[in-house]
Amino acid sequence: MNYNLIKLLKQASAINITPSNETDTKIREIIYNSEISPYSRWNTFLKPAFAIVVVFLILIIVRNIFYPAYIYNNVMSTIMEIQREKDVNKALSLYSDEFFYILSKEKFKNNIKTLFTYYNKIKYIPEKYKVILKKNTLLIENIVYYEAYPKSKKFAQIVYKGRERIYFKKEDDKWRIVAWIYDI
Amino acid sequence: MENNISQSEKDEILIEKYKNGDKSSLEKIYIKHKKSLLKLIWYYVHNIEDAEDILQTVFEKLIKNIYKYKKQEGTSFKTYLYKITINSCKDFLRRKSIRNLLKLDSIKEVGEIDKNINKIERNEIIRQIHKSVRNLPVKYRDVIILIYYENLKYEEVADILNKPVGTIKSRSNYALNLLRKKLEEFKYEL
Repeated sequence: MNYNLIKLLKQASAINITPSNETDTKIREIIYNSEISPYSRWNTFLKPAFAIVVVFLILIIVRNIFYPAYIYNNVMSTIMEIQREKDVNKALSLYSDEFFYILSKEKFKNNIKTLFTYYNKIKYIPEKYKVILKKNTLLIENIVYYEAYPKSKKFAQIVYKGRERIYFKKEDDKWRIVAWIYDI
Repeated sequence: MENNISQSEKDEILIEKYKNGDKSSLEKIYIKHKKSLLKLIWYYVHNIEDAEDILQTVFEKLIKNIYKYKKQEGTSFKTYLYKITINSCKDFLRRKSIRNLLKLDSIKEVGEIDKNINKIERNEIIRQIHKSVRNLPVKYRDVIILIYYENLKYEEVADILNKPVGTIKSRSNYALNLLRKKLEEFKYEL
């Protein structure tokens, strides 16, 4: 006798079973005694709030990393311009009254004198720096090298290696150097 | 209670209501799906008591993982529920390593069948079909149960089993051939 398999499968599936009353009751108990997972509340309410907080935190971090670096680059390019100036008096005059040195060690005084007196060209190389930006104050801390080009020689030499801190203050939307502390 | 459940009330809406604290919404889901789930479980375990135990487990798992459920395009809550159910059945079978012969006593009623086949022969064929389906390799058994017992579309089965539609189609054909061979061993021409 020939049968159609698919038809037989359909017929085999035609069973009618239903959970017993006992099972029905148990499952209803499970449902009504269930605690809605804190994770579902997390998904519904807390996750979006958390996402917003994270975005703000990222923005703040990004601002604190890139904005000071941006200011630093602007400020440092000005300082480097000043330092590139061959004429010491002219260079110092560029700082005008906005700027004053605080030289903490005698040694550095000699070095800086050497820089401006005996070398034709000096280059300031910031190696590692830390930027701290507060509301109206910017602190840039560097491990610095001064590379100098002697008048008579072709190759540069390092004439100073040390640490410096430059303090800026924002006044009328302009960053003003308040103090520049060397070799601390 | 069962009559009060609107057929149009979608599972997704009920789930959202449940997440917001309305526990009766989950009861509505239970009432809506309990028969089909129990039947699906029975196809795997062939024992009504075990099937009822698994049905409880399914709802425990559903409650535990409900926060993970997210409506995605092309999928439905039903397929999500079927996934949980099938996994629960497989866990059960793995744990128990059930290799008993089928117990068809637990079927309360068998549907209409071709009148040309007499009742005894019909029951014997169905017994052999269930036995053969049960002894198919897992990947073919899943496909037969979902397509031919549960009348799901290829796309739904593909979603439940996380396989491409093409794979499901080829598995279905292969599974039918396997079944034919198995049933021929019992001297049924199919």
